[in-house]
Amino acid sequence: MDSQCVSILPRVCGVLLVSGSSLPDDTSLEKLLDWFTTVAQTGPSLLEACPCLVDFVSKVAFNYASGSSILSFTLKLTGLIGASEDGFKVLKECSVLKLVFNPQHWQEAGLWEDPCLRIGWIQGLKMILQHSEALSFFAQADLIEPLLQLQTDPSLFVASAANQTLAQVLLLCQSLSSVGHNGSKNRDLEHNSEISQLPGSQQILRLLAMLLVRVGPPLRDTLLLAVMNSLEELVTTSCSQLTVPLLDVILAANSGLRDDCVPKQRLIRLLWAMLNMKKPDDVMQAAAAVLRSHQSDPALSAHSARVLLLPLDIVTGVSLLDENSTGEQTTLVCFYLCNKCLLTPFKSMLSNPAEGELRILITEQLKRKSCISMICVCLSNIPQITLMASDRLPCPQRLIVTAVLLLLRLCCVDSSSSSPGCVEVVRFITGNSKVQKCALEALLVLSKSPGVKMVLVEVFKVLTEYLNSPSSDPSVLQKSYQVVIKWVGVCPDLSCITDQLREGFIQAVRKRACDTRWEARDSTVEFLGHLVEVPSCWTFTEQETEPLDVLLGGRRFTVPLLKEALQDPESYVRASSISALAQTLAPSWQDGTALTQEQEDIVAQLQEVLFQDSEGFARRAAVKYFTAWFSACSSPSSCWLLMQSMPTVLSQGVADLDWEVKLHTLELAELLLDRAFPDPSPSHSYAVMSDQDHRLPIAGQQSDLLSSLKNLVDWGVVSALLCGVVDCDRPVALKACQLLLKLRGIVCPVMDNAADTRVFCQLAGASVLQQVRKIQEIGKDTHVVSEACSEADEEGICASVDPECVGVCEVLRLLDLDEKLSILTQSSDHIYNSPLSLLQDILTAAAASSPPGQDSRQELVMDCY
Amino acid sequence: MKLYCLSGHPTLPCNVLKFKSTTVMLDCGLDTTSVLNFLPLPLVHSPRLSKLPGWVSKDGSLNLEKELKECAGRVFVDSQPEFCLPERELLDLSTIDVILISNYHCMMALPYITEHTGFTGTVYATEPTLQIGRLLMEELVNFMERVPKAQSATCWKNKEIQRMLPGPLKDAVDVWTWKRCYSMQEVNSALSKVQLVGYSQKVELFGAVQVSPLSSGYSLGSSNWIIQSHHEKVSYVSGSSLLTTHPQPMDQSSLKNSDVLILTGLTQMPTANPDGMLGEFCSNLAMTIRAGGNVLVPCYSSGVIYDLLECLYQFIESANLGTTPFYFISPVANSSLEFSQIFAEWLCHNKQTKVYLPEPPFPHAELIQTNKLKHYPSIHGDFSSEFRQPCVVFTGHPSLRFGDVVHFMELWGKSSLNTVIFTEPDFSYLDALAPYQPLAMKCVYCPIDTRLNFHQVSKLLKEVQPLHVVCPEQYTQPPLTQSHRSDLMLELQPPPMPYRRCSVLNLPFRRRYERVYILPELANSLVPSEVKPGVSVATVSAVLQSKDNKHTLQSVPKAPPVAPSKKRKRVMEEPPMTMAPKPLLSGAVPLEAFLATLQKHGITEVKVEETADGHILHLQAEDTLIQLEEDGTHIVCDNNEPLRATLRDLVLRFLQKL
Repeated sequence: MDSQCVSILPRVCGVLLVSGSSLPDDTSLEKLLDWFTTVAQTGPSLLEACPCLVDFVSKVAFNYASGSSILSFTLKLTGLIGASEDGFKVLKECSVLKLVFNPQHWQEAGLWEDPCLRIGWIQGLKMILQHSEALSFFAQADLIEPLLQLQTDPSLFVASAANQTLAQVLLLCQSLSSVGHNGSKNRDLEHNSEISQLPGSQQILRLLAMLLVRVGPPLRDTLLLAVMNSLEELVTTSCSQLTVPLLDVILAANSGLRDDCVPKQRLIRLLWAMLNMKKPDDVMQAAAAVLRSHQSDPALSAHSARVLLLPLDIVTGVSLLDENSTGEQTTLVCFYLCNKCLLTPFKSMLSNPAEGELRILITEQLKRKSCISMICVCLSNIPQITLMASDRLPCPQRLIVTAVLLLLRLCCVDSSSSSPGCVEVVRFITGNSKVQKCALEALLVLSKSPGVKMVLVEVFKVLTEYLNSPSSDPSVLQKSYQVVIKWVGVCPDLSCITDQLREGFIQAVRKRACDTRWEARDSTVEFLGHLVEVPSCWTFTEQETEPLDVLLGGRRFTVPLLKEALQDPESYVRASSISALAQTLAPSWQDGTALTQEQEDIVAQLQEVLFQDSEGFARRAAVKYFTAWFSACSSPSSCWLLMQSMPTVLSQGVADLDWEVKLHTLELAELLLDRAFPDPSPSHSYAVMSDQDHRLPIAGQQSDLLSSLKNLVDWGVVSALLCGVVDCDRPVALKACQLLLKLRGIVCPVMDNAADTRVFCQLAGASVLQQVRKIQEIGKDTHVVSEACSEADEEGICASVDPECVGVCEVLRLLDLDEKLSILTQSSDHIYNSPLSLLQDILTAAAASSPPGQDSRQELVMDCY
Repeated sequence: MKLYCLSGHPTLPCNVLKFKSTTVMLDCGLDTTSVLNFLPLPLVHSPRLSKLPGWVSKDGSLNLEKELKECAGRVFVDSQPEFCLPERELLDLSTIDVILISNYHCMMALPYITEHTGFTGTVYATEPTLQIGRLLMEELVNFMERVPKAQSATCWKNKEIQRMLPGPLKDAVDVWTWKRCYSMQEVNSALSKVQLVGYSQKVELFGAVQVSPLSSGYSLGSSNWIIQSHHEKVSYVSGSSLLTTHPQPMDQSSLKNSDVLILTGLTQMPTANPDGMLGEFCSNLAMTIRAGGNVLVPCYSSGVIYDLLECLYQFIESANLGTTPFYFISPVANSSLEFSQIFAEWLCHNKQTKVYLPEPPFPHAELIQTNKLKHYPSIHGDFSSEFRQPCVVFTGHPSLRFGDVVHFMELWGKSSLNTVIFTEPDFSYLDALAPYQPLAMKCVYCPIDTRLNFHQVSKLLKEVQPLHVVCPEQYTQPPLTQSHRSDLMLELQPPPMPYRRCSVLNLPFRRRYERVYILPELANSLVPSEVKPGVSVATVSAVLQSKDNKHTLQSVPKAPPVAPSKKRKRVMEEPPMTMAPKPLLSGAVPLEAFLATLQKHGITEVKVEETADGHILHLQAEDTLIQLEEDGTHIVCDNNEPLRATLRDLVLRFLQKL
């Protein structure tokens, strides 16, 4: 720990004792505590480091006049000190401990009313409960009672903290099972079993869930036995607000138990009971939770799946649930249900009487507006259902796909299709983008289902309908595109896509590319990019082709659309179109096919974007385009256009106003750097090379390096790095610094000896030059530039009139890159966040608030206004 | 109160309301869908249309080659297009007192009603309605008169023959009543009967009812009407919109507390959201232009076109369409664009405020200034020299049967690069395109109908709570093509009263009260007496005078002194005594107190019997009955006048006299 901090800490403690209210800001105590925590964790002991703290704590404990925030801080600090056994002893010796953690003490002082103090008390207690000594103190001082009371505290924070502390107590008990504290434990359990009022129940259920996840077997079993009756009672009273916490508890308890143990059986029964609750919403929630928890009980999860599929079954009329009865029968039932007829005769037709009742309830609910949320719950759980083993599924997945497709049709405003299912629901779901999105999401997942290739055409038709519909929300369009990608990706056989389907799809995509809403245009452009990346497939002619060709007729179609999008008024769309172009052209880059005029035009347009675009997104994408091109290109050096663009891209990119553009530019520079100085190839890496071996052919190395370095300079990499290293944005400067270090590591060892081979590089802006000079001045050599230039003059390499020329190696040597790196690696606010600064701030604030300084502080406030 | 329904078209209504002693016509819309049965009228000679084969029935028995032509399997009448007029036989049109017009689309049949029918009443409309309505009529007349057709086909209308015709012609109704377009002279004469009104202005009709237009938010100057007397209120809701477009927003609150609400003019496209359609319009337009094609927008010269132009104004730049020319071709294009800018008080608030800035309310002015939008009266003249492709053309008529649009359909129909975008919801686009088949041109249907949809109207009705709703029968069931959409109909309690063409509805409410005025001197002579706190009554003797549907109570004139002309001995010297009216009694006789009083007066033997309406007191000693009922007291007492008088006085003690 900083000695300076230690020296001023007593003064700070003094200040806190006297004028707790005049802190620089309300977080300083938290920061102080954080610092103490780090000290305690990293150093040997907090008290060793700061012996004055005990004194502080005992003084505060007797001084009621301190503000509640100071008291709360002190309580937590006491906990922190007492967390170590040594500290605990010290505190016990000076009898602070009993006083500080005695609620009676604070109640008498009238301070207990303040939630701030209560939370300090709880958290202090929680911190201290790390060892057996503390636990015996906890038991002897009889602190369990107040802690349990705090569980139902009016303050939510206090109640929650009390809950956590209780859990901590139990966990500590468990780990120290040798210590006999059964008294407290049992009392806790007893309390838990008296689950009574609603708000209390919610808290206790949360605590239970938390405990059940963390405790080990013996304690868990005791706990479960103790609470089982109450849980059963709660389930039977079935209060909607408690459904979720109850489920959490049951599932948490259930997860760790062996199948054959008694509590497990009771828990399963409880889950069954929850699946038969009165309110359909609760039942759906329960079923969803059961499925998500990956229950091992097959009957239970199968039933949950049935429950969850019920709304879909009712709405669409596709009989998902009754394998025995024919579709017609189910339809008939639905018809009668919808028409409020007497249902009793039809109950017998349903396999499960309880399910029949649930069906009635759900059907009723589907006639109300709240049907939206119910259908969404059903749809969003389809992924879980598809994960189930096929023999446990109520119906083949293919049927679920059919039902989802029918639902999507019903939701589409323009479609005139009706369903044999519930008629009333149509008015709520038609055009409802929430349901549409959920259904599309389900369809996305269902693409993996076995045997669904057959419905690809149907899927494709529905999606085209959505893409075509004028009333589709942009988010729905985006989802539809995702589903297209997914389905096309998993279906290797696209021979079913007829020309007519393709034509419709192309029209829809073309229209969306001209949409008035930028979100729709953006998704379209993104889709065009993603489609390229879908693996190739088979067409009806049994040729291997790309889905892009099958669906849209290939790059002939997409590239002009994307080029149009480069002119889009919305920067997001421009950025997306640039990325999509990169994706679209990547295959041709990899193949090394000759450049077309179109590609040249694109490069010209991208350079324009880099120069002129007013938005960062587009410029970032433009730099990334070149990065993608460079990394995809098999031999970049042979691609004249790419290498020709590099100096422009690098110089423009690194001078950008947007720090991300600059960083992306430096990443491109890194690629070039790696390409110029490739790592020893893998085939050589295992060959042991001695240091000498490495240096032997020094002349050859030098000439290679020299030419590579010259290339780097020609591409503009070095100037970009030098420009970046003095950048005011820290991440940019850091990256540039790292790259320069890398360059220095490669170049300098070899080139140092060769004085005659100098490489010069031009620096772009005057300001950059000035900064480099400044660094050089700090490096105590003011002559490099002039020297370089004069030498260059002598050698006639560099134009004598150009003062912006610097020698690369000299600069690399002279710039104190290591020092710069260490500065840059520290976060930019490291000075202001240091503990010393915090302590000083507290002192200054205190001084400012004392009478002579008061005016100046007020002035400061005035200034702010 | 009766409602005569002269039109079955829900958005082009024509109803007559008989209310009190007035006969009020509500709108007179002209159903122009009949023109779809006719061949287009080309502006320049069209070899294709002129070469269409004449129609002969399959067995050859019927030959109407001259009147009917066949195109792509459909039969069209080769004659000047005719319109289906509102029903004119249901009631005598000369008895109509006033015609209330709600918007310029709903007045196109006006000349048929006001001319040659004996109509002598007044037409009420707002100024923009009149001016733009005049433009639309002028345009219609111009379209027809520009390409006169000598021939007038009538044979096919023969009932026997019509029955044998194919397709939609066979099912066309009332073809004998179809009429050719009116002349400009008739338009002028009809419009001269229009009297201008402003929103919320109250117009008295013969003192019997008051009519007042309210903003309906649908188009410039469009209105709903309130027709009310002192005790009854009928609201007439025609084309209304709650969307924020260019007109003043709809006034909903004034529709509250109506006894009857006549609801017409809901959206014809309940499933097409206008915003979505506008987006669709723009993207299809951009798509076509980018591909090098032309876009044709068949539209009316006023109305949605203002919103289309405004939307395009914002869209042009973003879609890189800055260089594409937009043409607006109509005989009234110039007036329409300019009129829209001067009706500031009829615009929405946002546009009204622009009037006070140095910028016009609609951005199409800027489009014209920057030469992006050009307007021409017709394709002849300047347009032909300045025409540049690819371009966007807005022109009429949306039925594609007449107007400059016919030319563009012939010109561009063969290329699949071009697109025709339908934005007007009045015509089925498939029917409109039928005589142009086969057609290579792309067709896009984005009907933009900003009128109320079912969701909005049910909310509106919930708010204004009319006692009864009357609407076209089409609104009481879901559309035929979407029979499962039970939300696309009116569901009300009590259910709305549906009407169809030629229905006569007895509106289900009775007039119960009438306001009567009392003259000051008569009022002065009244002596009110308080019957209960805050309520005073007085008797009035007066003469009731009814004139101009106003009722007034006047003092009874004094009998004129007898002229002493003849000196004849009179039998009776004095004029007959005008009997002072007996005071009116009010109050109730309390049983207990009355019995006590009777006892005081020595009547002790009283047997009280309870009856349904009150009590019967049997005075046994006197053998007298007193019936005390809620609305009368009877004393039955034989031959004992003094006793009766005593009893009467006792009863009167408990009653108040006026």
